[in-house]
Amino acid sequence: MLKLLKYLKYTWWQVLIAIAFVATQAYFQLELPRKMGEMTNLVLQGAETIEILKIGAYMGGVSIIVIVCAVSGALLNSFIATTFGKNIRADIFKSVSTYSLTEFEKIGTASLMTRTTNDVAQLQMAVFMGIRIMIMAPIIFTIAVSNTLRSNAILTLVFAAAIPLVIIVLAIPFIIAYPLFDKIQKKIDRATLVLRENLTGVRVIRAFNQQRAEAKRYDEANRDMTGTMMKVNRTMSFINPGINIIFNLTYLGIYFLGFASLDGKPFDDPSNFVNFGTIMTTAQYSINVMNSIVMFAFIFIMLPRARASANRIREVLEMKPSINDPTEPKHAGKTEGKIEFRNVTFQFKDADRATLKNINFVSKPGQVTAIIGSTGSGKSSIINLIPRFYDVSDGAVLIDDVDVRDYTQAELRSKIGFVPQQALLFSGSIADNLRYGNSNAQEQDMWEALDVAQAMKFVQRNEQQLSFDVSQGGKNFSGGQKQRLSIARALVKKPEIYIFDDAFSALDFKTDIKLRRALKDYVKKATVIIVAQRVSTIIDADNILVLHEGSVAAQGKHKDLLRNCKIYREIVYSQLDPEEIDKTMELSQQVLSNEGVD
Amino acid sequence: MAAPRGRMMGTIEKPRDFKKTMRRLLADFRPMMFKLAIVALIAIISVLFSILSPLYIRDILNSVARTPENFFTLTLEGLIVVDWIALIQRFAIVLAFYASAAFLNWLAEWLVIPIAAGYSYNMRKKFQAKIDTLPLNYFDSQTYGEILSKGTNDIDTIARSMQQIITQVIHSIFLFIGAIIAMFASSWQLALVAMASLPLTIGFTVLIAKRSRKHFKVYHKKLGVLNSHIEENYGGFKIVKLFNKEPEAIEKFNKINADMAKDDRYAQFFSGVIYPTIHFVNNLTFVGICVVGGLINDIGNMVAFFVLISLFQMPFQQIGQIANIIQSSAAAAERVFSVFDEKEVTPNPTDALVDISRMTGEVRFEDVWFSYKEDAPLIEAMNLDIRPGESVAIVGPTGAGKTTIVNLILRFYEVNKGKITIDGVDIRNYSYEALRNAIGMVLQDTWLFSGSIKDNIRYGRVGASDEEIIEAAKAAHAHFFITTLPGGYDFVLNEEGTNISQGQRQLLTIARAILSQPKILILDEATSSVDTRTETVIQEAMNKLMQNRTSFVIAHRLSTIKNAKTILVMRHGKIIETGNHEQLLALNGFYADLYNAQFSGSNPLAPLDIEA
Repeated sequence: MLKLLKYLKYTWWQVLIAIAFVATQAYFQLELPRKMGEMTNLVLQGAETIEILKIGAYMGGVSIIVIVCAVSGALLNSFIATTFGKNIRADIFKSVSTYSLTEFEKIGTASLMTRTTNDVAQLQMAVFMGIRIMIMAPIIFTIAVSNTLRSNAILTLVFAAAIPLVIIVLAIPFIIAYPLFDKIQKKIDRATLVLRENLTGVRVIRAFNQQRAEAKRYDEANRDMTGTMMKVNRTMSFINPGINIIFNLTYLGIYFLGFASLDGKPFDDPSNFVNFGTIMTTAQYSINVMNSIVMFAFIFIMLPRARASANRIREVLEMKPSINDPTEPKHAGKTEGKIEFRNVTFQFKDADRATLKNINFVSKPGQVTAIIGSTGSGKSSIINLIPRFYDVSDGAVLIDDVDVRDYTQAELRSKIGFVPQQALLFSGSIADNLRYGNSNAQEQDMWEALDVAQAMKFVQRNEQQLSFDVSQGGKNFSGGQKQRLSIARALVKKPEIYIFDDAFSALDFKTDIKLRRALKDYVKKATVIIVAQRVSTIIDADNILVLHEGSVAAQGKHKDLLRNCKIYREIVYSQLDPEEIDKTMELSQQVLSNEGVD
Repeated sequence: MAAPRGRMMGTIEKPRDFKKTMRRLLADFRPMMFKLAIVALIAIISVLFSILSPLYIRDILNSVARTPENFFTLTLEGLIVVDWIALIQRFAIVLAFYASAAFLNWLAEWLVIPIAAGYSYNMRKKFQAKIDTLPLNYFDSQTYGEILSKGTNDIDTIARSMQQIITQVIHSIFLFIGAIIAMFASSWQLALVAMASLPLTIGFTVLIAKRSRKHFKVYHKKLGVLNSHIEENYGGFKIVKLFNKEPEAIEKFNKINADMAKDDRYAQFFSGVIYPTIHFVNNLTFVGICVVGGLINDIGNMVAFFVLISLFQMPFQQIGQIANIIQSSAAAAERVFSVFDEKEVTPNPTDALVDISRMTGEVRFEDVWFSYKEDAPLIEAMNLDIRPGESVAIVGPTGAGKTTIVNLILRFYEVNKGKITIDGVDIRNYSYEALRNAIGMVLQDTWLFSGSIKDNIRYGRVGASDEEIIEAAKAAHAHFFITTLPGGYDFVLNEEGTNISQGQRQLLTIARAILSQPKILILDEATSSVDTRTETVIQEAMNKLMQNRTSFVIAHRLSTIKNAKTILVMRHGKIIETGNHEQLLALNGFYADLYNAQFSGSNPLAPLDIEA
């Protein structure tokens, strides 16, 4: 956690001045009880009005100094803390931008978000309060105690007795309650879970008449949670009264000891009467001292939570991306988009088995390469290797005869137009989203891409057309529409390589065919890779890779595979009746040879 | 995502009808009035002790100052001798006051703890029970998250504040009043000085609170913008990388971040400046008491007043906090009460039929009209006549009304006009339990709960024996994979249901439905992202389930449709064509179109995306 404090260096002189303000404030705050003691002695010895008023004026001035220091301190503290937070957030975001898929999956998107916002906010709050308390409490303590030592040394005994008592009263309940805090969270989560299940499963519960059972299930969780909560509250109930009584006893003790210490002292020593005032000052000090101890203890309570946040943030900042640019990047001789997988093996770090084994194939420009296989066969992994979302464990992936690891990531990705399985659109206009592919795209280019992606009709339907706003998460479009927009975005980029990761799954067969037909003309000599579940999508590809448990079971054209590859046959027949297959082939041929099917 | 804790002037939401809500909340406490009265009594006595203590110390100090001979004597050498007994006696009384006050305070809180806990326990119980009686269209009007938040976060807010409010409010009010009385009874001059601090404190607090709230609002808005940007970039990082948009994303982030930090600074400052300001007023009051105490030559009361003022200011400063807590509790309570006040489903008629053992499963729809929303008519004048054991396939594009038929048969929604009968009896004449016992359901959404596989399957029929459960699992072709799991039937499903695959979940729901031995079956065939082998198994299980049962199938598989006795083709909530497969093809209408587009490419998974 201390490592993160280095972010304070950006505001180091503000920190110094803030500390100065705090110290000044502490000093002057303690002047008030001291002057009160002085005044008491004066009054007891019969003082003049003017002297009382003089002391009063001084104390008034002191009060003003205190608040000036406090407000200035608050100004500085807020600046320091928010700047601290701002800088950490910026660094976190930058750090995350360099991550590859592995790092993202290690921490998880939701956790990353929490760390960027909530955890930073926790730390920021800790810094804001910490500066004040960590400086002020010790200073107040030191000044008060040293003043007391000078004036009435014996009274410091009271402080010495009180401090360990406070620590005990605070520590014991917290130590007992600490493990319960964790438990409570779990029990709250459990009760919430059951309630949530009752909501999401309301149809099933009623359909199976399980209301009574569910009520019992919830009651168990409810009872459990309430019981633990009561335990925690009961344990903590001792703290406030405990601290209160120690405060009061300290106050009382100072008076008592102050008078008791007169025992055996010579009567005519004038300093005895001076003591009355200082006893009162010390009694008043005791309040400040006790407060500062409690404040300090409070920090220790906040510390674990702040430290937890700090650790989470550090993990993000210190995580080194596993995919980096080469020190001496190469460029391709030609820019055709030929993809070659040379003996590629890929295995996840903690996995027992390799996801991909000895993958060999070549995708030539102008060709469509299809990859098909059951769930978990490794299809997505293959195409994730091309833009270097992961790196191969053995073998190589080459684009235009250059290993993908020898390109800079920026250049590599500029060659690829990737349409992922789940269409992700950003908030902004349709045009903004399309321009994501190419920031210089003109309206004409965008309409062309939309037309090919079979998206022109529904975009034109809205009045704002290209300026129509996409809401966050693309909620104002259907799944199929989102997918087509996502495809259009890749098309606008006009890259040498197109990769479609099951990108046609939300389209019905007719649209699928029309799209691929328009695509053929649009991409011309580019390399196209399609991953699909649906046989009808890939049935007419130039080369089909049949993936099975991480290896290429066979590759070739549809007719040959149907004859020679058992796995391919299984997949095909599970989707189409035999008579349907021929029909599908016919249909595709018709469409692709422009005889039309509308 | 909330603003960090410790900021007092955060987003305090205002309840819509504060008085009404507060009255209702308080009414809930009426049964506990007696206990609360005792707590109040305890609080009053503790306040008494708290106030007497400084007054007594004042008396001791005055004694020492004016009549020191009560405590000290002189030796012959002129040394002071302390009269220990007298001293200790006096101080011991104050000690006793302190101890009593502390004990009573603790006791009051101790007594309130079970009261508050019981209150929140009951509220939660009531909430969950209410959910069981709400008509299904209530769940359409809000997201699950919103409803869940009311049942958890909102009730939590109320529970936590209950504890605090009860103990603090009673104590603070009495302390405040008691301190004022004590002050005026001791020295009216000093009391006036103390009173002067009130308007100052109020004035400053209100002033600062206003500015603070303003800045907080702006800060929150900008925080929202930042969060959206982060969410999009983290959630869509693949896209960001693929299009090389990292530098732009960082630039945009830094801009939003810097912008937000500015308002964050103001908001933080204003929330942090409240305490010093109040402290300033306290200091001024201190100075005032000092000076006036000195001028009227009353050191004893001066000392007493230092304590009395802190006793008197404490509740006053807490009022701000408590006001906020009360406000947010009231707002939360409003939301919870709104759920309690919702209309419930029609209860079972008193003469409801409960015996379904002789049900044959003949289902009729007679002139049924239904719509979810008034202005969006869905089912109009539907008539259906299904004989026992027949299977009916329902086909049509998304939104055509297919699941609606299911909702009506199970009486999740009531028909607007007309009636649905089973074996000639209107389903409204059956009890809900009987009706739903008779109908088995396998939905697309595979809902299972976090419990063991055995318990999940047993959900189909309460009291089913282990053997029957295994039989059902075997019939559903689930037995095999269950036995490969650690613990077998005792294997516990986790929250998100991710420790078994989607296909396996589907098989379990089928087993559950088989166990329920329904007379009528409702089946939604959509299976999502399942591999070929599992899909075949699921199909076999579904076929077995449909044998000899009246089945309503929302069909996605060619074989189901071809084998159905009747196919209902739905579009825009209406049945536009009926017949079996061959008859419909011959019609060469919508069904034929659909078939050619959809099934000659045979993707069972894709929802139809026709620009219909």
